[in-house]
Amino acid sequence: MSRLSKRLYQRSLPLFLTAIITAIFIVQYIILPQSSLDFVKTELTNWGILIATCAMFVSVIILLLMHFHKVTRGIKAKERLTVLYSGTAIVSFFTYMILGSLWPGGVNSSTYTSIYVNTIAPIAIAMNALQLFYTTRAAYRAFRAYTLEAFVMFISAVLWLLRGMPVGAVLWSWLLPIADWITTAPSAAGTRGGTIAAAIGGLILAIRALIGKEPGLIEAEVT
Amino acid sequence: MSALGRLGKLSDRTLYIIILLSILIPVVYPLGLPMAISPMTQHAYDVINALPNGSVVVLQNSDPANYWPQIRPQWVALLHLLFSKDIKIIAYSLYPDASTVNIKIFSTGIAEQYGKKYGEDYVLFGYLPGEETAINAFATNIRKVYSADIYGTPIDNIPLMKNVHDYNDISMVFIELQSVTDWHFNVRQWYGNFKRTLICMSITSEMLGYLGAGKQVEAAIDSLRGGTELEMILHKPGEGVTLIDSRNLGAATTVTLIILGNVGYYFSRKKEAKT
Repeated sequence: MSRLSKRLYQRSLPLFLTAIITAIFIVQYIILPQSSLDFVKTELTNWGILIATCAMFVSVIILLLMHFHKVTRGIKAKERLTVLYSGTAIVSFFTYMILGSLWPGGVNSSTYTSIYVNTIAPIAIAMNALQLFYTTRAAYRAFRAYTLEAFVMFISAVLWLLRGMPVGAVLWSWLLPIADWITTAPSAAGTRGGTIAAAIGGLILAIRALIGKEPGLIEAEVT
Repeated sequence: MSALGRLGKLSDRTLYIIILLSILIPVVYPLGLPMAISPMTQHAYDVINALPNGSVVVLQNSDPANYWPQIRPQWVALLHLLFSKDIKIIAYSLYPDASTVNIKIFSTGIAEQYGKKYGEDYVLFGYLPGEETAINAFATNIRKVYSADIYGTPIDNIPLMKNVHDYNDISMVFIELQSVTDWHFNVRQWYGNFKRTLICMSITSEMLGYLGAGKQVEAAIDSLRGGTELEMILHKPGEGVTLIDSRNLGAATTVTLIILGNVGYYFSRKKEAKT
């Protein structure tokens, strides 16, 4: 009995609701754009924002619980690094939450904004700087013309980098049309192909989900 | 191994020293390398400059605060362009701390230089969760998703918002998004659903698929490079001009190392074949 009810509220009910809401959106968009369904669609969209807000709130709690759990486990198992990493996350969270709550003007005050950005920006700059070292090293080691395909990759990479150099437009302007062609023809065409393929795949998945043929994650959760 | 063959086997330490020098040299001795304005930035400038006075544009920011140093030059240049005309700006964010970035963008002092006032010429709204749903709801009816700006002023008390209700009152949308995977829903909503002109503030592989595909993305300003070019078009050299040398030398170092690696590989293989 409990198994049946679990299936009902974890699989059947969400699928039923999804089907109804999708049907409303499809009818409103394609058949009756300027009807009373427009109001229903707007309200449902606003509910979507409410649900997203609640989901974010829940995700913060889950994240905190996970880190509390890691700290507790780390202390017991004497895993210093785990305690340090998760402890830093918890301390940062509460520090900024208290600062944002108590500071005059809240999280949108210029002082709070400066404290926040001046903390996170240097960290990001440091990370980006490290990335430059690693990506350059990786490019040096990886872009070797071992085969014809690798040679094409090597030429494309060099052209792309030369195109990306602002000084390039002055020093080797004759190269830019070739690099631009690679960007706007094969690269853009490949991206568009990928986007269209993903969209068709998404559509098929949606239709299968709507008619109950695609158990997907919901089924995995139930079983 | 021959000297040329060794070029393909440089140690990590040597590589890191070369990269470090390539970053440090332009910082210590600015090189002032020449630069041309790309057709992409020129087109973006032409499109934005063609906006009639009194137009309302939206800045939709989805970048976290750690991108701020990278995007600052382009936003300073763009604010110069928008505020030199009578263009009104509504900023909102689709990422939790992107509203912090919006506050920083308008704290650069550009608005004050042109005598622009908060609430009359620009307004900031907070974080709106829901991504695609959020864009649709914002464009359909701003008052349904925001009752007040980030400072708590009721939306109906903001002079700029008196005549702005939905997408019909918006001429152009600037999208700040460094992600490579989230472009589809921005285009789907702002262009597909509401037929607004989109200007992209960064270049990503997914966005390139939409740029030049009809008017899906009308124009793009390529982050630091685009910002620097905009500074040059506007004759307002700023931070971008000083930072662009590092980008030039960083890319030049990478290209040189890739070529050296291949030269080394070619000669070491040739020697192996002989022996």
